[in-house]
Amino acid sequence: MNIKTTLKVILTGLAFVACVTATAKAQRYYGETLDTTVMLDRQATVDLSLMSGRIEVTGGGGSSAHVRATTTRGDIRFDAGPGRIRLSVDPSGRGIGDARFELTVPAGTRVIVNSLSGSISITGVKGEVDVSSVSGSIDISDAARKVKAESVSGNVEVSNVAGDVRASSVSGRVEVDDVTGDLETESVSGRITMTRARSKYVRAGSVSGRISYAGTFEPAGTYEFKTHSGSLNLSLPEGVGAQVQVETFSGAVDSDFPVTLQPTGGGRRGSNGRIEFRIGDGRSRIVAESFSGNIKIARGDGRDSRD
Amino acid sequence: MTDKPMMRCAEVDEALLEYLEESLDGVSRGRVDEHVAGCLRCSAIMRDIGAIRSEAARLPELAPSRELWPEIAARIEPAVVPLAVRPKRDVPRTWIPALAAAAAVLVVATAGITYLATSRSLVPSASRVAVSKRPAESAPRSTTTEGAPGSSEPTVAGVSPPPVETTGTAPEVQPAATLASRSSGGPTSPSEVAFGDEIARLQNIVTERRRRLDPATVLVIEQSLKIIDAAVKQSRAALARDPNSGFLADQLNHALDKKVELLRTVALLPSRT
Repeated sequence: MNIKTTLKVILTGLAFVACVTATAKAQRYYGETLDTTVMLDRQATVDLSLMSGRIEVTGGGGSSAHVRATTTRGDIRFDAGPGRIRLSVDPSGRGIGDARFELTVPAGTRVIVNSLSGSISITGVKGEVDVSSVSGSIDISDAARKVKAESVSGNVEVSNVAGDVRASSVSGRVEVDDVTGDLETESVSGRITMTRARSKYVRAGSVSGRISYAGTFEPAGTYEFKTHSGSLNLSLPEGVGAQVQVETFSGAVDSDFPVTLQPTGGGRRGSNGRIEFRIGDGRSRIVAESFSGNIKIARGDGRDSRD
Repeated sequence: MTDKPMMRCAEVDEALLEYLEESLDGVSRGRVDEHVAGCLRCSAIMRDIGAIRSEAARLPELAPSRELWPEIAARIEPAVVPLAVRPKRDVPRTWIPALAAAAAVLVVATAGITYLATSRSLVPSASRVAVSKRPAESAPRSTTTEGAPGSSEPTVAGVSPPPVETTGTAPEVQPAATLASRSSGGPTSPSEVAFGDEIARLQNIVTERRRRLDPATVLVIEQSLKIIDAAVKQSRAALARDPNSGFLADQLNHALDKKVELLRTVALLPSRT
């Protein structure tokens, strides 16, 4: 081992020693049920993981977190300090059963959840949320700053976020409502529905899932929607100004807005299946691509697109 | 010794690592020696580092056994499993050599963990894999652009699509999407080959772990792998139809990455979960 590595590892070791000293003062618990209250710093982190069962996290006032946890099999493992709560279930001699975590946390708390098949509900935390589930459903509302939600087969629902959102599922449905920050959604076969978005940057992609978007198109904003065989439904409010690029190989394009011819060959299909046209002042940029799905650009707020 | 003025402490600090690695040229090395010989601060630092090195050199090499892997793996995944706690006694504030000896132990232990982690490649990242993006604008898709609702199965003239597998797994080994399933079709790009290697390594681990997992967990994982395999297959088929799509190449990589992520999660699950 060279000396650079040695010194790096020594520094790591010193940091580790410091961590051990610090965490030695933390509150700990190991058992089948838990019901406790913990004081938390502002913007503390709550880190939860379980195999199956349910997680409910609710934002509240004050500076304390109330934690209730039960499990049918296994041991609840609880570590808490002013800046972080960790809650998980360790296997006992009989393995791990369903668990239920119910937490009330101060507003602004950062919540991290990992679950295999548990369903997850996070409401009103007004802080950062990062959730990963394999087959369980995810429901997040009233969060802030940054939300990330991923599932393989579970449905993902995110609403009322004052910040950036990244939501994805492989086969589950992805629904996002009322987001103000950057918005990224993705699926393979699941349907993607975005409503009341007020984002300046939106990107949505699906292989076969249908994508629908209804929201504002901010000046200088970028809005990209791509699908292979799913359909695209975009609802543009009255008075919107956008440069629109639509591309499809075998799908149909239907626009409620008049396609205005442009000197650069826009306004009709080009040889590569692309249509470019401008709506209003053309200040925002919209890209809509589908290989074989139909593309619909409609006027309105998209209420009828959410079926 | 040289024509240059004597080094200052800051310059010695800057040259220290190369000096200790013996990669410094002779002249510079001589200047460092010259400075250290006359500088109380720098000679003390040299003495301390020498002590650390000799302590570390005396430690036996640790060779973690294979059976240690689940415990080690569980501890290097902080987002899922809490770190093991060692609260029994406070660490005394002590002098550098004592800490150095403790750190030296960590040198060996951490190196072992790092070796195991890297050698098993259990920390995949999509960004680490060279993604062969296909720029959408680089080539026209077709000369036919008029579409109609319900039209399907277009042919892309002049493009030879990559082979599309008709089955999700290697049927002679396992039914589709079992924990030991090899893949969701043959790799068709360099990035898929890279993912394939990673997936094969993880699947070996997962196969070994299967009997130690709860049947309900195994069921959830198998179903999820089946979904991901279907997604890979679907993405691959879409890419075959539209081979110039960078978006689809990304989608395929994301699906493969998701599979790696899930297999890694399974590999790190504690027994009897």
